[in-house]
Amino acid sequence: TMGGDGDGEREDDERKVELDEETKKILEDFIGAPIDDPTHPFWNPPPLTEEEEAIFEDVKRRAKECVGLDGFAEDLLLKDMHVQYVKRSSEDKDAIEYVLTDHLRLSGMYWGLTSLDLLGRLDVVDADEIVDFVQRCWVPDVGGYAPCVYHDAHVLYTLSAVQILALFDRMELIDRDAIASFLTSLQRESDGAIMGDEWGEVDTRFAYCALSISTLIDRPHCIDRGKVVEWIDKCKNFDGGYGSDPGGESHAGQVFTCVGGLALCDAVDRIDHTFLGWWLAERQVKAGGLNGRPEKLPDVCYSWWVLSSLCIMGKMHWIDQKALARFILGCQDEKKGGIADRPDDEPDVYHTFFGLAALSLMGFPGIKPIDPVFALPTHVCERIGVMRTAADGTVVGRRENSATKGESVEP
Amino acid sequence: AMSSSSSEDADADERVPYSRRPEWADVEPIPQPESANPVVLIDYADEYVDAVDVWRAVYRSRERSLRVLDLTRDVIGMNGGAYTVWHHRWELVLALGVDLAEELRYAGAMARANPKNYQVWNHMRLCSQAMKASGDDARATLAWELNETHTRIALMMDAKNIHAWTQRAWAVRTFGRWTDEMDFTERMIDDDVRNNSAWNQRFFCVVGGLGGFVTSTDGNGSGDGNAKSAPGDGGDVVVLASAELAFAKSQLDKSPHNESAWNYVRGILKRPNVGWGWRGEGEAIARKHLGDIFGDASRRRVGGTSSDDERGGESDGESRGEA
Repeated sequence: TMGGDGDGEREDDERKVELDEETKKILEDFIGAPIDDPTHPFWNPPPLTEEEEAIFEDVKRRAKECVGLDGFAEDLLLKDMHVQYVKRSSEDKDAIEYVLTDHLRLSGMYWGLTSLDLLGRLDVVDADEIVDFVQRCWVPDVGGYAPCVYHDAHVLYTLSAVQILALFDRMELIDRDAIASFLTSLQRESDGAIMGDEWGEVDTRFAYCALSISTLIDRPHCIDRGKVVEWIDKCKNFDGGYGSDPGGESHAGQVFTCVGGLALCDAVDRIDHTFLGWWLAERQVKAGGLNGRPEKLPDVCYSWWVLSSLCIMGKMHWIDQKALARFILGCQDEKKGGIADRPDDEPDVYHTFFGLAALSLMGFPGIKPIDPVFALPTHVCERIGVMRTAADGTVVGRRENSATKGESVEP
Repeated sequence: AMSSSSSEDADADERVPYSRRPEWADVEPIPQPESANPVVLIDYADEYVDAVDVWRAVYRSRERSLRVLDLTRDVIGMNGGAYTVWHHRWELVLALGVDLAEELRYAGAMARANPKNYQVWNHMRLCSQAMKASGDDARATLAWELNETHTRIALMMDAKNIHAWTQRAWAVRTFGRWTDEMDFTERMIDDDVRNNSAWNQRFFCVVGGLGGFVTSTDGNGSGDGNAKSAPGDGGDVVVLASAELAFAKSQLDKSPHNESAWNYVRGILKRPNVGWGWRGEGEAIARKHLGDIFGDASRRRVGGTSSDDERGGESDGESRGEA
């Protein structure tokens, strides 16, 4: 079906508009050839010479070599140091970083705990203590989780809470119906957008959170998925990317929320795959790292936002994986453990998680596989029974297709 | 998965640290003595904990007074990310009848201190919406001017601050200032032709000002319509499109390796009313400049055969290897 708001991507191959003379002249000046003459040599270039073919084949061969991490030794990743780093960061409750980040505590915990699970060391923390804390963040009047005790509930931290409980296989503690009602209340009637909380701020991040939560707690239709898909589609930009709201600048983080969100609705056909794939692949800079927008510096967190999006789209081979892995490994702190945003900067739990997650997607030895849509270890997704996405983008398991109203598609 | 503050890097400085410069390899750097910082940090933490403990008490007791308003200012001053405190402050602003223009200025000042923080900008939107809703044109104009000033100042510190640009886009849409903003994007592009945010904003004005995809309820809209945008029609779009292509061309002539400008050209060409297929015109424009960069081989390659048509169905990964 054609896009409702006249985006015209699927139509404009055939439609032509009459150009006035001035416009035609500007265009012809621009390209240096007449538009109306299909026989002009400009539109009929000769075939490639043998030398040119050889160059092209060489480029293709080199592109293939960039796929996969064979040759990367497991000990290049300072696993034990990262485990100790994460453990310490959760224990030093007097540290300024701890005190000032209570407004995102649950998310911080999710980053740290998932890192530990990916490294196979969830045992170093006290599961009961953590689960207790998570449950103390539950706000029963609202039906959501706050980032910390005494704070207000929000969809961001509701997702983090559900993710943490999933890691520890304590999903039975979740009040699914209450959360489902909370999510329903967050969907805007006018356009299907999702708000963060009762205060009404709207952002594609929140759409992703609501879609992920509703899937994980098996209440997929507490929100109208069809309407969310339409809203996400409005956030698609002229460069193929997605922003925080319609017209918002394309940004890799927001791209992930939209690509992941569409995957959760079995609606990835809404993505302009070639255009967006290209935009994502362009995030890789010479040093091997990935940036979040054109002309910005690389940052380890974009390793995840970009790579998971490419993975869902079946295009992880569109970047040089070895160069990216080298970049991430170069961001490790050899003294303290942990991973920083770029080499020689201070590490933090956020970048530690996203660096490990990206290495996991690329199959780095010694890290458990992670699911690109849920950002949870694959074994956790299997245990819950939600759809899983493989490294080449193929999907197994249930899909929450809005059109079929939750009909499950078993492999 | 998400943080409540942006993960964006602070500046575009690309210098190599001394520790990695070969010409400095003979010098052993002396690190900051460890004792210095922790003392300062611990004091600060004590002040914060002290203030926040009191705030929690008055948040619970629902006290609404000027002293609580001042307390929120104090807490926010130490921790701009304190989301609930921001909302509490908004409740107080409404309950106590605080002057919204003053509150907007305060939020603007906080934006300078916390430019990557979502709450600051959300606070500005709340104040601005309320000023617009008052129905007084002078108040609405003032709200636009304060938004324009404070976002412009934030962009002087970081020309790519996505929050500041988002706020500007919201204000442009709410107050119908499309033409003003086109001029602003041109100045920003002149400052830095590679500023992707500026190019994005320009595109936003081109389509938004034509009553295109943007509606009153999109994003964090004020909910009462784009009073000052005219509905677009085919003719207007084509005229604007040729002007914008000429603009993009002049920028590309200065600096052909510019992803943002290329995406902009593609975006203009893909607009439905413009109606040109991407394949012919887009590749043609690319060819003009690729020829300069890569020489004859690419000129012949990009001229195009059906096998490298990006538009028809899925292209396989091999095509990524092409320039």
